[in-house]
Amino acid sequence: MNKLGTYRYYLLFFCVCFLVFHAVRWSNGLTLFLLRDPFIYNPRQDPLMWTYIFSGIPQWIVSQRGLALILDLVVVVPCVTALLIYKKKPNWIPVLMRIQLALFVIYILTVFSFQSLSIRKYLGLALVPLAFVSLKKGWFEDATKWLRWYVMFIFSSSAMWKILRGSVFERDQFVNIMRNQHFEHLIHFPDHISTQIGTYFIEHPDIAMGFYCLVTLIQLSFAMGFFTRRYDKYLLVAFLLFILGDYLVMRVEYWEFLVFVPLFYLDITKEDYSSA
Amino acid sequence: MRAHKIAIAFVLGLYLFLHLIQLEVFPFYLFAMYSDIENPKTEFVDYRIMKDGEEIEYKDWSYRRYIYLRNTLQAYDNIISNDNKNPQADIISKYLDRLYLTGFGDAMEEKHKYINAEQEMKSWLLDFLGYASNYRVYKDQYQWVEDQPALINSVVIVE
Repeated sequence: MNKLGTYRYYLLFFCVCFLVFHAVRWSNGLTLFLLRDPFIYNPRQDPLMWTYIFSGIPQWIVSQRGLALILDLVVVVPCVTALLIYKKKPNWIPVLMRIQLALFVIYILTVFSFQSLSIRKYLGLALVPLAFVSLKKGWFEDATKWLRWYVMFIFSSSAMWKILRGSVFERDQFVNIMRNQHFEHLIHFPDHISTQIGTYFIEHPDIAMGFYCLVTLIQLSFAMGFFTRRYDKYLLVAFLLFILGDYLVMRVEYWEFLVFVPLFYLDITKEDYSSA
Repeated sequence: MRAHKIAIAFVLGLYLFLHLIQLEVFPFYLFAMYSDIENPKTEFVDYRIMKDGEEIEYKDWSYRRYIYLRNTLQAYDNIISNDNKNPQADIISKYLDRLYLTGFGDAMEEKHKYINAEQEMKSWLLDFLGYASNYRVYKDQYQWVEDQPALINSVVIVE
């Protein structure tokens, strides 16, 4: 793939991912309109969220059903437009992606002002457009380099928290996580594969402990990515296994992280993308 | 180029600072999930909804929709057990008091007080789950018995 192809490829990959995951959000009943005027805020640990909630904007948006529905629809417009015009009007892409960035940040801050899911899984969809907001020489390369480092940081930092807090050295850590997380699955979703796997770990604490240590080690291995790209194909496998494993073992759905996948294999060198 | 380096240093410095004080500012999140030492719990809570006398089954729901409902019910339960204030908001004054911004923190926390929590919850359930002449939400308490959850107590939290 040539360099212009790389830029276009990731742009298309992002837009398709965004549209697919927005459709998924819609089918899950978690768009702004389908939240159905929620009333309990979730301040999280985030001063920006405290301020945003204090401003009254999220409550105003979700209580105006028409506005919520318009936002649900408008948030896909930049990606749809980008897919339609990326060949004929490449100079429009940065403007579209700036609009995309602003719209989606407002969108997810509003959704996550309430008792919704973890906001972390949407970070990829929120941050990847940064790579396309400028056609300045070197911007795409620098932005994707930083995004790749950010992915390495997510995993290696997650391992470091477990090591520094000592949880990785606790024999019953993973069994206790499983018991706490899976008890309601046993009640409501007894036949789901993650419930079966969780039950297996609860019944085999030594295997559970080994698994938790192994996951921590794999997460820590992403620190290599700060220094070299040589092992990226192995890290990509680990990344995909992590997303799949999170679903199978924890029933935590991080599918939206798939938007980071091209960062592991795209060949990006300094290039002028102004004619992309 | 210098401005570029300053911007990078600022972002890294901010992130380091947020790690040290264990706060988050979108999009700079901490990835510390499941790193706290998890102590064995003896009791667990689940929420059961009866719609016109019929229990709502989640088996065919999307899991994310279920989590949204569960999180909302859990937050509601915490609010009514905490004098109609969301305990998740205690973090606001915890940090703002240290910055001598108590008045601002109190004003922010006002948003997390729910005088008519039960009434609002009923309206939301009607909207979210569809019309019914009666919704009743039970808070079920469980214990693990031989690697299986066993019901030990049940109270109505919305009627």
